[in-house]
Amino acid sequence: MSKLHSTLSRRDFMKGLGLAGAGLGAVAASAPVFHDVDELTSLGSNVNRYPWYVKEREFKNPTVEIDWNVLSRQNANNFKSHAKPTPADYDAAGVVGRYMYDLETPAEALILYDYCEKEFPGWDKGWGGSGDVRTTALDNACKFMMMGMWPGDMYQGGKRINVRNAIIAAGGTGSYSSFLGPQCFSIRPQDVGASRWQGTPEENYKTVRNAFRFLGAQDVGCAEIDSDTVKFFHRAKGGASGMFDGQGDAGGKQVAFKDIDVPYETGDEYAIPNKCKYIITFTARQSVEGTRRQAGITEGFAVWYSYARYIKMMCHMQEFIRGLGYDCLNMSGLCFSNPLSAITGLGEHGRMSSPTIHPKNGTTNRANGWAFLTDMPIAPTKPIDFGAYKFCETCGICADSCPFGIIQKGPSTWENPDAAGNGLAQGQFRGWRTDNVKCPHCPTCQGTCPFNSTSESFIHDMVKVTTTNLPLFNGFFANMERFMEYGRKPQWEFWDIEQPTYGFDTTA
Amino acid sequence: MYFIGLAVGAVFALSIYWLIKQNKKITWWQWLIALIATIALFAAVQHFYGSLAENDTKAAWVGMGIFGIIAVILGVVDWRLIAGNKEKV
Repeated sequence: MSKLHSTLSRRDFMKGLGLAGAGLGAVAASAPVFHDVDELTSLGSNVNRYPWYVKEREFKNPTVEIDWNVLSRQNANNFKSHAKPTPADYDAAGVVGRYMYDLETPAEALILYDYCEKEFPGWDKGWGGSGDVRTTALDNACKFMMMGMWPGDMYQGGKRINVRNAIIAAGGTGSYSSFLGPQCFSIRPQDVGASRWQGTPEENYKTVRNAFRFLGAQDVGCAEIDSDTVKFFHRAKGGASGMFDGQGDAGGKQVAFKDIDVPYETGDEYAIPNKCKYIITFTARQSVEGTRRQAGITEGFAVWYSYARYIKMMCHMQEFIRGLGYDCLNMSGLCFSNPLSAITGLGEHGRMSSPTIHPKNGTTNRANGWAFLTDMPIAPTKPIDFGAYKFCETCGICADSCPFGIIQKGPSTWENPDAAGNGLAQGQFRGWRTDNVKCPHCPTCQGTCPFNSTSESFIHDMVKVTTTNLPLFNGFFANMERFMEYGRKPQWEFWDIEQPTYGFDTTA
Repeated sequence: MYFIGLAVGAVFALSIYWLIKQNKKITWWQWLIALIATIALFAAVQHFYGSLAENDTKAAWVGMGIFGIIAVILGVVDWRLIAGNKEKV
């Protein structure tokens, strides 16, 4: 009978029911209210709403080890980059590519054509060397005002006008992107007798993040300049290589932090008030399918269109922050974006060395870690850890894919003699380095990173959760990535697949 | 998700129908094997359609094969084990 009837008395049952009810009531009263799952997952300091398995680390302690004592501000004018060939070099060599190359020499172009023809039998290098006619057309279409560069020659009122030359003749520069920002429409409140925006650092972070996202960015990171983080900002600007003839500049302009109230720029100096000690970084995405279908020479339309959109977006941000009543200085080209991205929690340093790896988008970002400086107080964001740095230690897919074999192989190191030619000081961080003198900016490695995968299949999130917590399986996952043939895909498929606007899912 | 729900729901409904019809006793570990087989089936179908949406065709078929084989083996083993059980009194 005892097996068929409960021995629990009515009194005990009611007592238990009461205790359970009181407990549930207390939990419900003290728990925060969530309106959706995003709010639930963004609880706490995960301000960029990364997936739940992404861990936060202490400030100035990213997964890449940094020797702050050895680190020093660099003279970027000593940095070396790949020499730019001329169209005549292509003509003399009889190699296709004179209209489309970025930094590739004719010899390097031949290596890339051979590489792509073997990787994707039937691939057509086209008349320009970057794919068939429609791909080439989109490549060139996306170059319009890319990197903010004024058109050298364009139709205006039925006439061909050299806008760039006209602006340079008037004392301007080759790009509309500038240190001080355009200052066209932004009226500072204090200039018309109104008070400038006043918010707490946390409110200011939300304000900046929402504006950035409205304008097309994804994540926003912040940090404060101190005696360590200032070392990521160059002492002197480097010379730009220039996409088109006449677009580069000599470099050497000083980047100076000063006890001044108003920032200014002269022919030989960028003057930054010490009060502009708040660093703002952001991520700017590019087409995922476009990225992994880049082939031949030049990085392609996915990269070009990002550079066309986001330079303009940065100008909008400078105008916005100025409109709040604060300075906003564009430090692009005046700092190291990779470590700034890592310390502001926008990604982890990885083997490719130039782009940081983002937890959701891998290396399909441009401008991950490009920076502004402002005097508007903004709450800092913490570095993140989702296992990417450790994964890179055993993966090496990008290094294996490099047609020129210049991405550093093996475990992370404090020095890489093979990359010494780029003029960057070594021994400052334990990671990977690529020699920019040897890198012609071909389109290959960007599309190979395992972290580029989207979350359509559950397997990617499951793997990411595991790599974050159990590096033991990293080698197995890297091998599965190879076996499953993720990564680069035939270029011609791009035209047959349905894609979200801009080529990336903004809700992911 | 429509196809995933349809496939898993259909298999689940057929399994329950079969169990009721057999009127068999089922041990806890047979339930566990059935649960793992169901998860493997769910994984096979979700990964297949997810990978196709990602335009990774080979990954879709390989994943479908791996998870599908696990689901089939566990499902068949569990079916035969349950079939050998005594009927409920």
